[in-house]
Amino acid sequence: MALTVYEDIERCFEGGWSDGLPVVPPYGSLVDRMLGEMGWKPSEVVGRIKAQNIEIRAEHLAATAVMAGCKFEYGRLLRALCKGLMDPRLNLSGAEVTTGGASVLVMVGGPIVAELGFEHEANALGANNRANATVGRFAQMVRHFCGRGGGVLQTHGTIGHPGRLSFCIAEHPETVWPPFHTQFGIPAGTSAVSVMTSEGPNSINNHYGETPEVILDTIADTLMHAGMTNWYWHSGCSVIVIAPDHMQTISPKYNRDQVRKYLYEKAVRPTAELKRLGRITANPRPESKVDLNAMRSPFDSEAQMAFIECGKAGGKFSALIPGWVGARMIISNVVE
Amino acid sequence: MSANLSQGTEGGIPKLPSAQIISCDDVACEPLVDPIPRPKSEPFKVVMQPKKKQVVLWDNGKPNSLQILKLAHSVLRSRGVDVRDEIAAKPISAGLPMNADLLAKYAHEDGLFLMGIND
Repeated sequence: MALTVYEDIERCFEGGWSDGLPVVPPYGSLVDRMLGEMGWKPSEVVGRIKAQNIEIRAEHLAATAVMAGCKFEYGRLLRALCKGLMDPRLNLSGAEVTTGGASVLVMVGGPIVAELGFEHEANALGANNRANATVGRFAQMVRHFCGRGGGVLQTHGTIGHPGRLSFCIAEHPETVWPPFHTQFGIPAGTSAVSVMTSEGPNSINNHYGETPEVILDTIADTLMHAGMTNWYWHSGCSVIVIAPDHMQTISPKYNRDQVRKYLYEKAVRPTAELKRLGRITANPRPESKVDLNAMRSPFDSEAQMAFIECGKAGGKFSALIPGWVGARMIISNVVE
Repeated sequence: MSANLSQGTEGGIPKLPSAQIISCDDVACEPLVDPIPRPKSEPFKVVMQPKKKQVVLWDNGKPNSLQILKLAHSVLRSRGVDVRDEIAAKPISAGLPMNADLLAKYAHEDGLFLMGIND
C-alpha cells in the first residue's frame, strides 16, 4: 500500500502533475468526496480560458484540491475561491506566464478563519499551518495547471517569488477597522475569500516610531520605492498588511479611509526623477499620463490600496504586497 | 540537448503533461483523475511558409514597441521587403489578454505577422 502510494507520487512528478512538491495522488474516491464537498458534479464546466480554448471542469479543480492536501471540509471555501480564480478579470493565464513572476494571493476573512483553523497571527504571511499552506498551494496549482494551455505555454517569470508555491493569509477574526472584504462591498460578519495576482511581500519595519504619522510615512516610503513595478503602468492594486502593534499606534487617530488618503498623498516621487532612474520609459503612451513636471503616484486612484489586519502582537512590522500589473482588481466572493 | 524539468521541456520543446496516469497495486488498477484542462482543439496551427510575401507589424501596447516597429518597418523597406503601411495596434492595455474578436481577425492574416514586445 505505502509503496503504491509512493510510486503514484513519483508518477505524478514524471507526468507533469505537480507544482514541484510531492502531491496527494488524485484517486477517484478522494476526488469524488472533494467534489461532493465543493457542491459540483464532475463534468460541470466551472471556468473557461477562451483564448486557449480551454474549459475547466469541476473534476480538474477537485483533483487539484486533493493533490494540494486540502481537507474535504475546506470544500465550501474552495468553491468560493474557485469563483475568484475562474474570473477572467484575474487573468490567471497571464499570471502564470508573465515575466513578472506573479502568484495568486488568497485572503480569507470572517468566521470561517476560526472554523477551519487558519493561522492569522504568527507568521501570518507564511504560516506553517495546514489550512493556510494547502489552500494557498491549491490556488497556485490551479494557476499552474490551468494557465498553460494544457502544457503548451511556458512560464517566463524572471525571478518569481516563494508565494508561487503557496500564498494564503487570513485576517484576524476581530479587526480594529471593518474586515478586509468590506472594502469590496461584502458585509462584515460574512465569511469571504479574496484573490489578487501579486508580487512577493515587502516587510515594513518601524520599531522606534511613536506617532501614527511616522509609521504611515514608513509605509508610504515602501510604496514609493524606485523598484515599484506600478510606476509606469499604474494598473496593479496593492494590499497593505497592518499588524497589531502598528495598528495600536495608527488607529486612535486615523480610520482606514484616512490612512488610504494619507498614503496616496505621501507616496509620490518626481516624475523626472523616475525617468532619470529608468522607471518611466522614454516613449510613454498617452494612456500612462506621464507629466515630467509633476509628482507621480504609483496608483491612478487611492482605491487601488486595500488593507488587511493580521500578524502577531509583539513586533512592529507591517507589510506591502504589490499586485501584479496585469490584473486591475482584487476579487472578493462570499463563502456560502 | 538541454532539459528543463520544472517546465516539462526537453531541448526547448514543451513536454506535455500526461493525459492519463494509472495507479496499480497487486490487485487492481485505477486511473488517477487528471487535474489539467486541455484545449479542445490544437492550440496552435503553425504555418511555416506565409501565403503572401508581406510583413505585417503589430504593436502590442508595451511602451517602446511602437518605436521598435517603426524602425523595423524602415529597415525592412530599405532592404526591399514588402511591409504593410499600417502598423496594427492592440486597442487595450498591453497588460490585458487579447480579445477573441481581434485574435480571430489576425488569425486570418496571409503575411508574416511580427509583434513588438518591450517593457
